[in-house]
Amino acid sequence: MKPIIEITDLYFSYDNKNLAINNLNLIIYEKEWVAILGHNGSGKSTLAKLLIGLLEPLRGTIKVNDKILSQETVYDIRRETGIVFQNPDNQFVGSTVADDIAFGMENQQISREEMKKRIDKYIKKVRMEAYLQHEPHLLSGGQKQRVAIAGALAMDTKVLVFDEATSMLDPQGREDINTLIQELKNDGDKTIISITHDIKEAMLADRVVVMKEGTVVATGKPTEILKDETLMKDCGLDVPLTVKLSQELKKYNIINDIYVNQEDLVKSLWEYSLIK
Amino acid sequence: MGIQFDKVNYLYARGTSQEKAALIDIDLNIDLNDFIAIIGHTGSGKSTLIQHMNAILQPTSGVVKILDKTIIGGRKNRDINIVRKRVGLVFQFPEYQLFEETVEKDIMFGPLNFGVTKEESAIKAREALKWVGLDQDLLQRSPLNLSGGQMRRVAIAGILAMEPDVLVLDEPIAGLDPQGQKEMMEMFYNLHVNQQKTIILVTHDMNYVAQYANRIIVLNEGRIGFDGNTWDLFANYELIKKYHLDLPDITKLIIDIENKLGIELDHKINTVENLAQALVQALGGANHVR
Ligand SMILES: Nc1ncnc2c1ncn2[C@@H]1O[C@H](COP(=O)(O)OP(=O)(O)O)[C@@H](O)[C@H]1O
Ligand SMILES: Nc1ncnc2c1ncn2[C@@H]1O[C@H](COP(=O)(O)OP(=O)(O)O)[C@@H](O)[C@H]1O
Ligand SMILES: [Mg+2]
Ligand SMILES: [Mg+2]
Repeated sequence: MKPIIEITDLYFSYDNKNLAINNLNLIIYEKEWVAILGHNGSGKSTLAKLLIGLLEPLRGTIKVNDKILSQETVYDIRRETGIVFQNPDNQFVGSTVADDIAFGMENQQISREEMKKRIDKYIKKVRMEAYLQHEPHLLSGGQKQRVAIAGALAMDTKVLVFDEATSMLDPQGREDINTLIQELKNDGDKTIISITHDIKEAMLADRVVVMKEGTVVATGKPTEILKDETLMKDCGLDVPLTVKLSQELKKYNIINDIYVNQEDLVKSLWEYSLIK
Repeated sequence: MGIQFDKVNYLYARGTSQEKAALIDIDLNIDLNDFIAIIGHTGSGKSTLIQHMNAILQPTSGVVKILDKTIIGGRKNRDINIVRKRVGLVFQFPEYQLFEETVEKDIMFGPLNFGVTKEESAIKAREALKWVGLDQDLLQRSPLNLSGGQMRRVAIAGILAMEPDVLVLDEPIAGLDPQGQKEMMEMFYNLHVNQQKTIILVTHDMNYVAQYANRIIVLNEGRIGFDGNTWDLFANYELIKKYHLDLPDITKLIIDIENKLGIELDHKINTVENLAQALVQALGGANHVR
């Protein structure tokens, strides 16, 4: 696997006093789907902004696709890295939803026909086709977020960063977006970094990275990381329901393992019911 | 006395090409002392509905009765200020609306605005800070230097300081980390139990709805799709499907287990401890030999 993002000894401070990013090291590989977890204030959004060059590190380097992020390379790198922010209110520029989605592409020298094709494709994916001619600022929070996601997808970048992009959505919306990310992954040429508090979203990832106090405290398969109760609690998170039920059932000797995956837990219960 | 909606309609951008009927013929009767969850799709009208509950929005047609005040659609309604004091509305992301230099001043803003003296407002600010579980030494800090979760608590304290009977909250736990969400929900529950506040909240988190709400109102395209007991909704799979709603995680797990094992469990089980016990029973007792 080839690294696409390499972060080495990264430090950042907003006020020259507190380190929002404190000696962070992380490698993300091409076509990998990484979920970043961590409590509020652990530095996730700061990391995302550093990645696209909206903030400049105090120390350390970020390499994207073998290019070191700097003033000279930042525009090239942004062409390869799309981002959807946490709060959709700050990401609108167009006077209609369609303009807004077009905006990102306009900086990429894409033909008008291609632009139109992509707008149609992605607005449908986020189920907002009825709103193409509406003014973005009149939409509800969740609707705005869907449009922002369509905009980022339309740019067709190598790397996509979702910063709690689904936290404002209703369950159906989350599922739509998770399905969409899954599709992107199956298409096979995107690297996806999703910052999330949603365990279900994290479960779908190839790898989970846990942040605390500006640094990476753990990384591994979702099934390994999400069952570590001490780690999860320590980071303001919670273990999935399946882990809690496994712990209870273990007390009764009904199962022997702690399961993160619901299918595995139910299967183990089923096996027990057969021998009983 | 509570909040009643009688044939309420609300149109955004009336008379323009973007005219939108956000509420359609809403009839609703809310009693005091309930803990109510309002759920539904994005764009279904939840925010519009709750903004009618303290007359921030007034109906295009129909009548809203808020405690003893009647708001008639399409008319100029006078003296509605008192309603805003008694029904406290917390907008989505209220932390973006903090603006004073200190936490204390921010919380005092509401009471002062309603004619409470400075001394008394300061006392109320201290009380409110306690209710939201924040330390008194935050009072002189700038609200902008707090964490997101703390800022949101300050914003909620600002509403509580007006001592409303009803607390209406628009997606109050969205964007908080799981620990922060849990603490915030426990805080609302405590206000409900210990301060007898009526709590009305919009949320997408069915786990917390199952845990705390005794009544659910489902909005669907501007209309009420369901209004009733929490578990009556979660037991009604047709409605859940029809409105694309989510079930609590534990209910989904229970159904999954039932299907795979061919056993029957109580769908109202609400804690892992109880679910484990029910499973032990259904599977013929604990296993001591394995
Ligand atoms: N614009 C800012 N100015 C000053 N401090 C900030 C700013 N944004 C974030 N911080 C601080 O930096 C730290 C990391 O914040 P953030 O990256 O937003 O965390 P997360 O996204 O994990 O919740 C926090 O302590 C936060 O208070
Ligand atoms: N200021 C506005 N102007 C025009 N339409 C609006 C405005 N605010 C909301 N809407 C529309 O009204 C409907 C209901 O919105 P809202 O009450 O915010 O829904 P919810 O809170 O359930 O997501 C949506 O279709 C939304 O697009
Ligand atoms: Mg963040
Ligand atoms: Mg809303």
